[in-house]
Amino acid sequence: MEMKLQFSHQLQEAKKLEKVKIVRKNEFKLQELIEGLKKNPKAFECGAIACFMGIVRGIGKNGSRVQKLFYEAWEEEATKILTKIREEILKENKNVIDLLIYHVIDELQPGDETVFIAAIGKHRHDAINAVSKTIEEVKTKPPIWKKEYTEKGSYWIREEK
Amino acid sequence: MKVKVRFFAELREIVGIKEKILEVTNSPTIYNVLNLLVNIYGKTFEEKIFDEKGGLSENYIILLNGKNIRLLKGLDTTLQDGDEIAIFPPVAGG
Repeated sequence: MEMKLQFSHQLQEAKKLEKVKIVRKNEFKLQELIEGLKKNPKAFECGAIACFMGIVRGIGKNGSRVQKLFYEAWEEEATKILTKIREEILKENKNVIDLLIYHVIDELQPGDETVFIAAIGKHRHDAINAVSKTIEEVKTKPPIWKKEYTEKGSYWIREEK
Repeated sequence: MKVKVRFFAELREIVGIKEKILEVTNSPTIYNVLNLLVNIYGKTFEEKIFDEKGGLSENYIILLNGKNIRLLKGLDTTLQDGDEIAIFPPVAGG
């Protein structure tokens, strides 16, 4: 009975955790997200959580000091595509139990967080590979753009393929 | 018939708005809509969207109701009343 209750509590907690989200600056707490992953009912089968956090680089593509980085997104579509990326990564490797993708859309300063990806997996390679694949997809698929403002001018950034 | 066009990133800056409802009368195609937009927003818009041969610039992506027109009939893709067109440059998340 007690175990059943505990399981149901864990299930509820796991449900509360949003897996994919477009957020504003400082709108998510790293530790809470990681704790959320650990509450997944299958977490006891896992031996690793891997995380990636993107931050704003202080030196721009033009070699000049960055003043700010402006993110723009077609939020509805970006959320759909991020959700699809997550589903595909989870489908690809059944040893990855859960995956979170949080992307910040805002005006940011050097050092600010831009994107957070975390995967919980049965083994470290499962979790690390899932995070690595996810960030590559996040850079090229969802309709998100960024404009770098530097001491020597501003420009929209194009990802190198 | 009416279609909605959405602009993003540098194109949004060029046209100065996020979206526009356009009235399309004759031959409702993507090409026709782009030409209507060129008439409104001028040469800068034209140079961004079209390549030297008059085709769609490889730097731009056009989605019709969420589908890339390159997977449809390109600039010749026909439109229906209420369609939504999104035009944007290559993405750069992360």
